[in-house]
Amino acid sequence: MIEEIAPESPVIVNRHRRVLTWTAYGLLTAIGLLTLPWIIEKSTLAIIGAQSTEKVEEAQIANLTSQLQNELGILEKKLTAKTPKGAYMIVNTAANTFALYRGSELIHADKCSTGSYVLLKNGDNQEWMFKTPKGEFRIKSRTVAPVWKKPDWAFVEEGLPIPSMNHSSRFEYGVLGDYALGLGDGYLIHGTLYQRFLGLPVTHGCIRLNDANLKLAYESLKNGSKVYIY
Amino acid sequence: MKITLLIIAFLLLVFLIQLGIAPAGVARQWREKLEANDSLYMQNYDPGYEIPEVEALARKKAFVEAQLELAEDDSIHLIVNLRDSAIHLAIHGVTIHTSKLPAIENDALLKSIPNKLYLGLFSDPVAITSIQSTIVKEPIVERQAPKDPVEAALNAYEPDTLIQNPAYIRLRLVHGIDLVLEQHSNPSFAEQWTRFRFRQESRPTVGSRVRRMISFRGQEYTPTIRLKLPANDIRALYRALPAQPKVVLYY
Repeated sequence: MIEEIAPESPVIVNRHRRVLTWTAYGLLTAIGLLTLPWIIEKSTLAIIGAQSTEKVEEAQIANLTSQLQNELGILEKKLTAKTPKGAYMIVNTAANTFALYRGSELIHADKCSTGSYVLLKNGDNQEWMFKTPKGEFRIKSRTVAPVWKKPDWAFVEEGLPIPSMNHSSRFEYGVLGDYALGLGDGYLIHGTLYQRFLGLPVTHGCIRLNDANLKLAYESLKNGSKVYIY
Repeated sequence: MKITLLIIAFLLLVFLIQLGIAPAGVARQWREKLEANDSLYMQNYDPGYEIPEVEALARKKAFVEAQLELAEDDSIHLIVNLRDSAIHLAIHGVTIHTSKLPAIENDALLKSIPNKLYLGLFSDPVAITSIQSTIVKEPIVERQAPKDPVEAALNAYEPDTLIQNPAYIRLRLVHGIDLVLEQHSNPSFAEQWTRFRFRQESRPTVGSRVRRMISFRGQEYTPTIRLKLPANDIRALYRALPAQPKVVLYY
């Protein structure tokens, strides 16, 4: 008997399908590899952040909460008490602005001028840095119609010979405005003839205000009032 | 050929796993450090502090305590309050500058650490160990004294108000955390380029990555808090910080 064998149908190689399949595998692998660190990171972080399984009684939670609230209240009062009750001034040397406060209430804010950061060198022996100091200061003196006793650098800066300590050329009247508030070490809050420079870093370390602001500062700040400079 | 491919695939897999587990390694280091330095705290820690309502209060208390501790210090310091989206400068407990943070990116690891670790790390003020910046701290201008009044008049000082480099600062905290202050808007290409280069500087190099991968040491991971704020505020904050600044962190 002769058995009839049906011819096998030819295998059609679908190239497009193969390319698509391999592209899909490739993409899946790439996505898998790229997301692997993320998945591991998220899983490990979830383990790290997992809440303790230890049971805590309701009463214990209430107790802890009220204890923490009480302690927090005391600590916050302590911190609030650090802010001066009276008037104080804050000076921002980067923006050349100042703000006058009384407690947490803002009285007034405006432009001022602070140190220029000029390093003046007189040969190899002498140098002066015109920088406004930073930190907490107190008003140490309050003067009406102050007279400026020019220091040595004022002459060096102008190319003039340095006179003796009490020479008449050292004393200038009216250049500091109507008032001056001393911060110690020769640093003052005073007025200026150069109002157009307010808001710019142009001083030799002092803080310059316009006339109205200077009057307000003088009236608000007493001896011992705090001045914060940053 | 096949073997080479297999080795490359294996190393790639190792690298990716190392990347994934790197944050866990940092958390482990912090825990070990706390156990070594403050074992009493770790032993006596009340598990009740992990309960969300207690956790919030405990963190707030730690924040105020840290501020009070710094209030004893004579220097200006930084307070970062992510809950209120604000950064402050304070001295002796008085807030002297506040800047709102329009955008905050907190690190996934920092967000997920348990309260025990959080309180251990941030209950005290954190020292800043190094600062990198694209702006100068003090714009010092050196000038020679003029010989006479004529030269003085010619060289009269005019303030340069146009020196405004893009402002980016990286503060490396003692726990190996980076606190990055970035200027909020970057309208120009130069500013965007500066930001790109600034960010690149802190990333591990390919060489160090490969060395760590081959030696199975685990990849480097630096938890980073990225804060965006106006450039002028960054300048003010940077200029105000003393030589050894400290920061109080709250989130």
